Order: sequence, then structure tokens, then C-alpha cells
Amino acid sequence: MRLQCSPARPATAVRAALIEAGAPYELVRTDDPGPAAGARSQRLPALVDGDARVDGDAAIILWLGDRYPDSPLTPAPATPQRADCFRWVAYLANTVQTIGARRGTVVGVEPDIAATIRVGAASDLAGALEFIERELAHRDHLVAGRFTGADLLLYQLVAIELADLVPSVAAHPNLSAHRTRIEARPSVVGARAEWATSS
Amino acid sequence: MITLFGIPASASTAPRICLEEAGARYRFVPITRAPPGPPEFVASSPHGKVPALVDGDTVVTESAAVVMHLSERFPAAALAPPPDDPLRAAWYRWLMFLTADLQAPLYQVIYPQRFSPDRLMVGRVRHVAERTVTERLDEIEQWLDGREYLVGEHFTSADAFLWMLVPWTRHMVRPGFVRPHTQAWFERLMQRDSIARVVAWEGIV
Repeated sequence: MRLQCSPARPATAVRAALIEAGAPYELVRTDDPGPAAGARSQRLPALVDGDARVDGDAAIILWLGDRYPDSPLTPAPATPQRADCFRWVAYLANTVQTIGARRGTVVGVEPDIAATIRVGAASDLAGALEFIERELAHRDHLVAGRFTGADLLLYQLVAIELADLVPSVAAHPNLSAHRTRIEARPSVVGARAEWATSS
Repeated sequence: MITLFGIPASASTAPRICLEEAGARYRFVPITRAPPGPPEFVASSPHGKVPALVDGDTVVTESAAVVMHLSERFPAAALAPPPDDPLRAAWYRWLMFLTADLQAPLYQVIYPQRFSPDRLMVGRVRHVAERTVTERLDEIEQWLDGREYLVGEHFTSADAFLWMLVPWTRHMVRPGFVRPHTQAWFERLMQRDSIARVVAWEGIV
């Protein structure tokens, strides 16, 4: 397997997912992932796994869950937990992660509209974090009773990607505890150490 | 029996197409846009958003998640490549791309007031979002050149998801329809019985 990551964006969730799965992989730091099959260009991170090509944090985590069914990344098929894992991954990808993407759209636009978009993004993130905080009130992980790849994605978004937008962590004790819990997993420790030593 | 809570011509359309493709026994419970909705819906959807699907002990929200669940729930319908097929990776990729990179900015185009704390900026917020959506539609157009479907050689639930989103672009300067490969793909899918039924029921133009 070959994982391509941007030097500026460590894709910690995906690399921790690979470690959780016990999947050997080669890490390639690049800003140019090259074309995918056909005309479409790949996004980063991008994973090449034999004949399979997949890019984007959420999609890679879901693929690895299928590829390594004994890993904890996604619950077994035909279980309510699996559907809940799908819900969380989709929500994090289309609501929380896109807040970061919205900030990216301000490149090349006038300062006043850029400021408006940033304020709106920060406000929406605050709302999303309140929702997640409530959901974590009575459980340790996003999916009740177990760790999944969705926890890795949440960790990456809150602790790394959107850290500058996240209001005081103290205001979100459940989210803060989740972050500490995930950060202590050997896979996350390993992924962070790998990034630090490979740069 | 499966219950799908939804609003016609909304994010519940793709799950409904999947249910029709699978020949599933289900009931569609229409929800009005005025909250909170019936108690059984409130209990199923923590955000109060559609779609929400109740399937025995399984409750699932988020359109992409509902589509993934149904694709696995009805394997005979071949709504997704099997788990050991490399195309499964592409299926995940397209679903996540469509929900995060197309559906999300489309909401900013359709409801810009929700994303602009300054009322005077609403039009310009919409303009920036429309620029993003246009880039994504162009990317999809390029991908559909020479292809019948988004993933592999067969219809999948990723096609259902994109089919749901394309009409949402109809008020843009360059809607998805104006691109020839997207238009041909869209009209081809209109011929499917499942989609024709949902179009008739939901009044999709």
C-alpha cells in the first residue's frame, strides 16, 4: 500500500487507521498526487491499495474497515453500530470537515466577504461541537460501546485541522475527554511519532 | 418494515431511490419543514433533519449513511460493489465526495442566509459557494465523459446520490444539466423504473 499525504497536512486519522488495521504501507509526502484513473484528479490523502484507489480521509477509513474486517475501524455488517458509524463518518465529513473547506474558499475573495465566511464557519463549528458534546455525554466513543474509525476522524478535526477555530476545550469536557482518550491510543501515538520523524 | 422519514425532493430522495431499486417493503413518512415533526421522527433524528431511517433496531440519519446502510442491507440489488472488490474503494470515494464536496457547498448556494452572519453579505456568500459547486460539477462532467455510471460498469447508489443532487443546481448560473455528459447520464438514469417512480411521487422537475 502507498499513502500519499500533503507535507502540510499529516492525515493523522488515516495513518492511525492503517496502524489500527495492522496494514503495512509506504508514506509518500507530496503536493502532487497525480491523476487518478481517468480524468479525475486525486485529492490528498490518497491511498493506492493494489487495484484500489481511494482518496479523502473519510473514504479511506471506510475502505480500510472493509479491507481489514478484524480491525476496530468499522463495526460488523448488519449491526446497528455499523449504521451509526456510517452516520458519524458522513456527518464529520460533510459538516465538520467542510467548515475547514469553507475557510479555503476565501482565497482570492475580498477581505470583507472572507471575514464573513470565516465568522460563519466558526459559528457553525461551535454548533457542531455542542451537538457532539451532548452526544458524548454518556459514552466514551462516538458509536456507543466501542471505538471506531469515526473517533480518529473526530480527533483529527478537533485536535489538528480545526484546532484554531475550536473554542476553549474546557467548555467541552466530554469532547476534551474524548480527545485525550483517542490521543493516548497507540495508533495515534505511532502516527504522530511517524510524522515527526519522517519530516 | 422499514420506515423512511423524508421530504419530497430533498436529501431523502437518494435513500428512496435505493429502497425502490431494492424492491424493499417500506413506508415513506413525509415530514413538513415546520419543526419538530411527529414524535417517532423526533426520536429518530437527533438534528431534526431528513432523512431518518428506522430499520428494526437500526436507526440511521445522514443521507450518505442511509444510502450506505441500504446498499449493504440489500446485497441482491447490487447498489454497491462487494467489500472485496477494488471498486468498493471508488464507491466510498464518490459517496464521501458527493456528500462533503458537492452537497455541503450546495446548501450554501440554496440557503446562503444560514451561512452568512451578515445579511448584507448573503448574495456574495452564495456567489463564492456557487463558484465552488461549479468547479465540482465540472470535475464530475469530466469524469462522466465516456462513462455510463460513476463507479464501474453498473448503476450503484453513488449514482442515486448524484442524481438527487443535480436538480438542486437548477437555480445556478450554470446548472449541472448544461454539461452534456452529465445531462446524458441524468436522462439515462431517468429511464430506470425506480427513479421514474420517485420522480412521479416527489414531483421532481
